[in-house]
Amino acid sequence: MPYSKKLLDYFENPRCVGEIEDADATAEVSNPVCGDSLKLWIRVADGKVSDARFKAQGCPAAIATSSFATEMLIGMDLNAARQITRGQIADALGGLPASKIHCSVLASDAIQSALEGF
Amino acid sequence: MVMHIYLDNNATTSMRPEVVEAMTPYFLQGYGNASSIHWFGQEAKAAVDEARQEVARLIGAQASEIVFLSGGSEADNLAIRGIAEALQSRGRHIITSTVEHHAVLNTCKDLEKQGFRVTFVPENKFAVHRLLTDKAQLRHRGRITMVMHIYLDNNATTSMRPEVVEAMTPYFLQGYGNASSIHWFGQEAKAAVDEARQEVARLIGAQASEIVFLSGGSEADNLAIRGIAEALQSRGRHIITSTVEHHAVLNTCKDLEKQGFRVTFVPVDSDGLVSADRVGEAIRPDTILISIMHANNEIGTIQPIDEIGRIATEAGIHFHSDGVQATAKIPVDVKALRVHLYSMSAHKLHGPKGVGALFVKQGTPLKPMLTGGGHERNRRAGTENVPGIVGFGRAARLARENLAEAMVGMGELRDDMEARLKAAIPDIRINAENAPRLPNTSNIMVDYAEGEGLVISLDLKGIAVSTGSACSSGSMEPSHVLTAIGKTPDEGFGSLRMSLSTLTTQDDIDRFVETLPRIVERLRELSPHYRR
Repeated sequence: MPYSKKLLDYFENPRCVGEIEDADATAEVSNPVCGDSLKLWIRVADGKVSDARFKAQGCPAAIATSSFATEMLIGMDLNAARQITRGQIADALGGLPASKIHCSVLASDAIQSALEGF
Repeated sequence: MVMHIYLDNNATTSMRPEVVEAMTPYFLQGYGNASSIHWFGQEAKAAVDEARQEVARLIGAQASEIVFLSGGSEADNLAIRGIAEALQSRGRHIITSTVEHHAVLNTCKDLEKQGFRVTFVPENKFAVHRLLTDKAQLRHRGRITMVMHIYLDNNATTSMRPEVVEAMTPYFLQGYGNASSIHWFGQEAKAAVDEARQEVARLIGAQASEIVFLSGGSEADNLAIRGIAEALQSRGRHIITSTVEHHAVLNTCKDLEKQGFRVTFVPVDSDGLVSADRVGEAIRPDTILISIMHANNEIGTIQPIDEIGRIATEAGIHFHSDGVQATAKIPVDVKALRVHLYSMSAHKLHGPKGVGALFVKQGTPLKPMLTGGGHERNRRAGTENVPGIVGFGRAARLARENLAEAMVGMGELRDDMEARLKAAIPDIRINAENAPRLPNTSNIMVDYAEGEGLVISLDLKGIAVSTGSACSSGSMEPSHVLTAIGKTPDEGFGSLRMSLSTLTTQDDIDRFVETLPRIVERLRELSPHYRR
């Protein structure tokens, strides 16, 4: 298996799946080349991410990194959230095969995009 | 077995029992294609990687510096031809010695004909290097245990049948002679190869003398296409093939384009079917070869080879068909199909990996690609892979004897599977559903779910299938076959290929049909685009 146990766990049992009605911020990003897509909903309170949910269509790497990044966001200071990089997400999941690095871009792009107005 | 003393170990050696023991698990359990992403494939890949380490260690190399191939003759050919072609713009002179093996000598002589100059230095002018080698520590891996796995990826590779392993075993430890040797060991090996040649010939209605054994389907396709191209280039340099061929055909044709050949890639319809008329329309005065696969590996479409054969015959053009997926799944008669060349692979029909065959109709001009000794009637140099060929022969016989039954059995299971999947899962489509199709192959498109996610989810439940739409290297190219039948990535589908064998059971299908709907439902629930 080209993926770590942790990544497979986030693929099989993704955390923070769903939508947030009246979210304070949303973002929808997709990779036009490979067709993967991610939609992110965020609620903000006191300069922090108080809740976050996602939906994604894509390969195991795309789904796992999206789920992991969404979970990581919750409780995070907005400035810190803006600093999240794709490398951080990939490393935390035990690394990604070289051909799959682009999948983790989806999550970091969605976070940047959602927080743009704040 | 008579008491025989073997003092011909420079011709070939007996296999060590530990070696046979190390191989056995990969015949019947760890038989995956090392390129597959499921458990079977990853087990095979791990085993190949470990072997690569061992071979590297034997000569003080890095594992990444080792290329596995069919044997010493191919290694010599690749080294010499590979450098010659890569560096010919820098120079065309080669130095070798007069005492080299024929695989080196004849390759150098062949290059001389292509304008290279070769200096053959007498042996005593060379310092003799002695290779000191560590005794390779071979250990039994014991990695593979029998887990409850369901294997529905038989177009990638198949399990060997126990009868095939049984037929091969005597040639590992007792009948291990080099089939070119004149002593008892050699003649035993030769007789076994001859018998296998008969069996493989019989499977496709050929003469034994028209069968050339080689390392597999890719080599067969390469030899057929390059062999004709080089032999007939003075007559013309145009080749006709299709857009849905295996990469062994497509990339060989593209390579020939770089060498000045022109290739017409005939398109297919939405079922992946090649039209014989369009092939006929593509014929030009300088066409020397038509190469159209018998059956497609991804979607199973069976091409009208007999019609194309008739057109090729009328036009006096050589006709090759890649039969790797068709043999042992549908009846094949090379005479009725009117092909000059037909490729086969043992591991697709429950035989061993690393062995295949090319049918070469008597009188067909073909330039050999591997030079060396005069094996295979001068068509292909290299010591015969005797146990592999014996296994191929036995697998071919079993396939021939059981073909009618196998077609019905696999077809019924496949049709039952497709009917139940359609009933259980909305928004799926079956590719080439109403086209002439291999009885074992099923290719479905699942909307709102991605291919690799489906494959990995099934693999985690112990079920091995494959996809033609995994994203990799930043470009989700659906496979060239799906693209050719009009499926583009923005359709947002996942493709799944299930390929059955005669060893597939109703139980396997039941478990698969029960498992897939839950997986599709789960992935669709995750999708931002899916609405019930």
